[in-house]
Amino acid sequence: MNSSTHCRSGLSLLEMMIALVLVVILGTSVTLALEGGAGWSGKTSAEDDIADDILRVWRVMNDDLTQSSWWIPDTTQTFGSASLPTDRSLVYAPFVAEPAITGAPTDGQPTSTRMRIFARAQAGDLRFEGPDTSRLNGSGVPGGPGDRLLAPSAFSSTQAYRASYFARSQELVFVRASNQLWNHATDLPNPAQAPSRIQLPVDGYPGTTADWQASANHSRVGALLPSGWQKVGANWTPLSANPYGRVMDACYLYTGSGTLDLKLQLEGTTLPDFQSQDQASVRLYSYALIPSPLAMGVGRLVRAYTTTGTPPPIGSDEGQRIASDGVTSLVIDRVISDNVARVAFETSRHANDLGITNVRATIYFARISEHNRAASVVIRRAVTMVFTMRAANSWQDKATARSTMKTSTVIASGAIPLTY
Amino acid sequence: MVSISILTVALAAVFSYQFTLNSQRESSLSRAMRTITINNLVNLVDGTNWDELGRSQRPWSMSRVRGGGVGTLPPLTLSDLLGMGVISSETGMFNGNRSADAGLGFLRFYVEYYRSTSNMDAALNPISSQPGLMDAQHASTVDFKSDFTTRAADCRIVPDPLTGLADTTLVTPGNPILVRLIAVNVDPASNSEQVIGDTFLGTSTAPQ
Repeated sequence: MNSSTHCRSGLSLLEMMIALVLVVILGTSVTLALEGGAGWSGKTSAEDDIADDILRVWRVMNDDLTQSSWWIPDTTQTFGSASLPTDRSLVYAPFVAEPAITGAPTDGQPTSTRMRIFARAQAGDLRFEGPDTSRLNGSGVPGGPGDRLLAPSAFSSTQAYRASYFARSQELVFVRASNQLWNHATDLPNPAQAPSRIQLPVDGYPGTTADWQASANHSRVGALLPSGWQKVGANWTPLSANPYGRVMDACYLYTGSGTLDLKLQLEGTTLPDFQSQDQASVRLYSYALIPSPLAMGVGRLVRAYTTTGTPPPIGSDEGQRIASDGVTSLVIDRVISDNVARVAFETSRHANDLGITNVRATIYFARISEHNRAASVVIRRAVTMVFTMRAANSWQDKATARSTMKTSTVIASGAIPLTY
Repeated sequence: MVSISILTVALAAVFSYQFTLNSQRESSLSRAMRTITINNLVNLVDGTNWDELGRSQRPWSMSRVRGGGVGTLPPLTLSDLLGMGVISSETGMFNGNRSADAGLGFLRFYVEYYRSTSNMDAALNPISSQPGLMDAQHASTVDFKSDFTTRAADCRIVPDPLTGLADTTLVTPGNPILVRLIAVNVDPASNSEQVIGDTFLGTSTAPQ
C-alpha cells in the first residue's frame, strides 16, 4: 500500500485548534449578544415606563389644572409684596408648599390653620425623605443625597438646585371648579309665577338682591332660564308654551354688594348649591410625593385631597391618608407614578415668563433597570410641563388675579425663587 | 475561511440588529418629549390676552424677520424654547449626548401671526389673509402693549408672500390676532420639513 495515497480519517491538531478557537469566539459572541439583548430589553422597558409615566402625569395634571383657577378667599391680605413668612401664613391656591423633611429647613412650609396639613409636620404623617440613595447615588444622576437637607439658597447655583434629583420636593396645592349641579331637590320651579325674577341674574336683571333673597325665590333659583323667556316691551313672555329651564352648574349666585352676579363655584366637601363654598369647605387638592411601596420604586407621585371626619388609615394607596392635623385629612385619590425622584412647581408668583394662569411643573423621573448583570441602570428624564388654569380665564378674571397676587415684580425674586 | 466568513456575517447581523433596535428605541421616549413640548407651547399661547404680550419671553415676542412668508420663517430656536420656559437646560435634556434623547433635535416650531378681520375665515386661510410676523425691531422691545400703541407703524402685518403687496392695514385695536403654531419634523439629510402639527391657538385681543 502506498502511504501517499492513504486517506486520513481525522483532523490535524492545527485544524482542531482553529475549530476550537472558532467555537470559543462564537460561544462568547452569542453569550455577549444574549446578555446585551437582556440588558437592552431591560433598558428599553424602563424607557417605555418613563415615556408612559411622562404622558400619564401630563394628562392628569392638565385635566386637573384646566379646571382650576386662582383661589384668593381673603383679598384684603397683601400678596404681591409679602415676605416669605407672611406668604407662608396666607391662604390661597395654587400654593407651592415644601413638606417637612427630617433635619431640613422649614422655610417652605405653610403655617396657616387651613394650609398647615400640607406641611406634613405632624407626627405620623407620611413623608418623602428623598429617593433611595443606594440606587440613584453614584449612577450619574445629578445631585447628591445631602441636597435634600439644603435650603434652595444654600445651593452653589440656581442651575445646581434645579438639576438635582435629590433636592427637596414641592407640592402644588390647588382647587378645582365644581362640575356638579346645584342641589335643587326642594326647589319648586314655577317660572310662570315670576319669570322676571328667575331669569339668568346677570345683565338686565330688573329685580333687586332682596328679591332674590326672598325665601319664595330662593327655592326656585336652581332652575334658571337663560333662554326660556324674552322681554317684550315691559313684559316677560315665554318663548314657547312650556318654557324650558336649565339648571346652572359650576357657579354660585353672588349677592354680596347688592349687584347680582354668577361666580365660579369650587369643588367642596359639601354638595354645592347656589351659595359659595365657605373657605373651610373648599376642597384642596395636592400633588404629593410619598415613598413608593414598590421594590423598584423611586418615589410615588399621588394626587390627594382634603377631607374631614374620621381619618382613614395611613398608607400609600388610594383611600389612605398621608397626613392629618386632627381636623382635616389628606387622602390619596389617585396614584400617578412610582418613578419620580423629585417634583418642583412654579406659578406666576415665582417666574416672570409665566402668564398669570400658567403653572409649570418639573418632574424628575427615574426608573431603575436591573437587567444588566454588571450593575443596575438608571434611566432618568427631567421633564418641564406647562399648564393653564382655565376655570376663570377671562380678561377680567386674570386682571383681578394679577393685581392681587403680584405687583410689578415677582415676589422672591432672588437667585432661587422656588421656595414660594 | 468559509467558517470565518459565516461567523463574521452572523456577528455583523446580530450587532446591526441591536444597533437598529437601539436606534428605533430612541423614538419612543422622544415622541413623549415632543408631545409634552408641543402641549407646553399650546398652553402658553392658547387663550392668552393681549395684556400678557408684554414679556420678552412670550412666544409673540420671539424675533421674527420682516417680510418672511409661510415656510420661510425662522423657527423658534432651542434658546427661544429655553427662554420661554418650555424646556429646561438645567434638567439635563440638552446636555451633550442626551440631545438626541430629548427628541427635539429634529423638531422645529414656528409661530405665525394673522391679522383677524371681521371675517374669521379669511384669517384662517393663509392664502387669502396676510400671514406674517412681527418684525425683529418690535420683538426686541419689552413692553409689547405700550409699544403697540406708540409705534403702531412697526406692528403691521408683513406683505403677502404671494402677491408681494404690502398690507397697510394695522391691527385694529380691539380686534383679535390669531396665533398659529406649526411643529415640523426635519429630515436631517435633506433638511426638508414635514408638518406634524398645525394648530391655530386662538386669538389675542389687541388693546382698546
